[in-house]
Amino acid sequence: MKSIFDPVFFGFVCAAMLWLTALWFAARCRLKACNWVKAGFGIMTGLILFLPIGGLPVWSWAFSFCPNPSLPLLGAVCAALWQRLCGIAVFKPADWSAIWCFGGVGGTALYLHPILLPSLDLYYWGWHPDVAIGSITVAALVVLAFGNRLGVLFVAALLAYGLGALESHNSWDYVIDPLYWLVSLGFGVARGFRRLNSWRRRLSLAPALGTPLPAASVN
Amino acid sequence: MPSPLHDALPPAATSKPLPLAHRAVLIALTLGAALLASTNHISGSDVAPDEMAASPARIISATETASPQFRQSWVNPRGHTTAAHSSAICVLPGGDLLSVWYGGTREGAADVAIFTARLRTGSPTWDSPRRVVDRGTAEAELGRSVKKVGNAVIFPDRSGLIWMVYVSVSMGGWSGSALNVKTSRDEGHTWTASERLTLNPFLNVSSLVRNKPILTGDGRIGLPVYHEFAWKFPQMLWLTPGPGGTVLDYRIRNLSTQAGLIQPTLVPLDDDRMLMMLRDGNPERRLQTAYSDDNGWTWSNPQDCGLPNPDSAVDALRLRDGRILLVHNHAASGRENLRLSVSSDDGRTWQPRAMIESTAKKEYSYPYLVEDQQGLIHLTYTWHRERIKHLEFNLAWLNAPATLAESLAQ
Repeated sequence: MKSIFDPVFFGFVCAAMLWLTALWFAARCRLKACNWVKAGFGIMTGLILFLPIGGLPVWSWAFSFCPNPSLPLLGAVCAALWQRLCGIAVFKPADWSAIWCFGGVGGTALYLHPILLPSLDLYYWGWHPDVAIGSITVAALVVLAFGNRLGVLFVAALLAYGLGALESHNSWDYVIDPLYWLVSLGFGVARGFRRLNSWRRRLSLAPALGTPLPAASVN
Repeated sequence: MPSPLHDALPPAATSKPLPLAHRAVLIALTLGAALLASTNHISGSDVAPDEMAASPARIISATETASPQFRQSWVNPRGHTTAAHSSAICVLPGGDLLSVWYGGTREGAADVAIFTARLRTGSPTWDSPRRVVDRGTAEAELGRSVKKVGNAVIFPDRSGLIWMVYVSVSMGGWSGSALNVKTSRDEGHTWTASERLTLNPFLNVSSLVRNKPILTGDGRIGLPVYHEFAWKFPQMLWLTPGPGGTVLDYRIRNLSTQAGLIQPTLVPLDDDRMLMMLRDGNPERRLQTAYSDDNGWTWSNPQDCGLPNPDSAVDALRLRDGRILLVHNHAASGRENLRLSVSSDDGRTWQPRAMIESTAKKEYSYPYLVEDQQGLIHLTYTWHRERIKHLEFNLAWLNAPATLAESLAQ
């Protein structure tokens, strides 16, 4: 079963991610993202991706190292791109939280479980269609029942798995990939730092607020 | 935890959940997608094989009672490549022998290619080697960067299709390997384009192959492979052939959690039992064996079989008389000798037979054994890391007292 979309997937994902990164940096540098800037970055992205290095275009190098982009990663990229281009927020903050939480927890379980539980082979179960399809379906139904849009990405993963859209035959590769995992962990760590900082700020303000009034003024 | 991509955008709306009508539509879509996925995937191959494939009809000749036969030849000519290593050999349905190995300036060099050579029936010498895959062709066929190619095995399936499974590396050393498949419908003259197998969750790195497969009664191919990234352990790759020389389905199972054991070699025993022998990378340096009672699906914990192993590949073969023939480096360190040993009790104890090579500071390694339709045993191995040597012998030669006394190694 050969992948039917992977080169297309990869060209698209690489282009979109590079473009978004460029626009994000532009926003950080307070460069106004007018249509000309967006188009300029788009053309630059295309040129960079097709730049041959060592006989292979840049996007093909990316494909060499991460050939199975998961559907949640693709969906997140698409949603961010759509929001950037059309100003329509496809995913709300709670959806983004769910996406990064799932990526962090799912990736940690899939990639790191052999260290703690070597006798458990989670990846193997991804080849078992009943288990794989069943668990992704249940996850999608539960998440959708709560109204979270992460469920849409699970449905997309099911469809892609049904079509054999990726090079991998393993269903877990449709919902988790190393890049998605690492990005999710990055957001998790960033959020942890933000919480820690705000907690520290509150702690440093607390004594000042809690200082008792002078005894004389009590009367 | 909103996305930073999201941070850079205009303030988003509040986290309004999906409207109920949308949820209903999406739930229906989920069920439809699940139905599509379940109808498009095979679930029947996720069980232990009932039986091994029947052995090809053997010509029961007078081999066992015949006079000892022994012949040696070179698979690759002198100077063909500076280095040559990791050979495999198979008997083609037409009776010819086909051998595969990799060669180049040195192991892991960018100019290393995978070669095949053919020994035609009745011919005393091997045909000139043919380059089948190198870094360039692998890159073109797989559509991605390939840094080097390595170990390859070839074998026929039950339909006569010849399979080649080979290692390629896109990043890092051998622990960054992935496996690729090529097939041939014309006994190795032409090969299909390479197909990549995704066998590991993290960037699909660290699957390697060395030994011959088992063929099951339901058409599956059980290929022993191994993992090297972070820690080393043996695995079994179950391939389901599809039409036209394609891979219909595959999955990989971990065989043992005991670290440091790689390059499993499998020997079918009686009924549904199977023996596995493992190269030992642990400081103990002991050849390990494990047993399966369900045709290789599940395995016992590996045990020391009483032979040393200098962290080097071995190969084994079930002989027609029921014994098991093993080729191994008979030392706890170094690959300076190569010995034949036999077991009459399914691999529990071993009796040494001929020492076929022994030279100080030289390497003899990576043996590979097959038996042809006439009962002749063919062995190829790496000779001094320069050439691939082929030995051909029969049971009478193996059993002859003189064989043990007059070991070939001088």
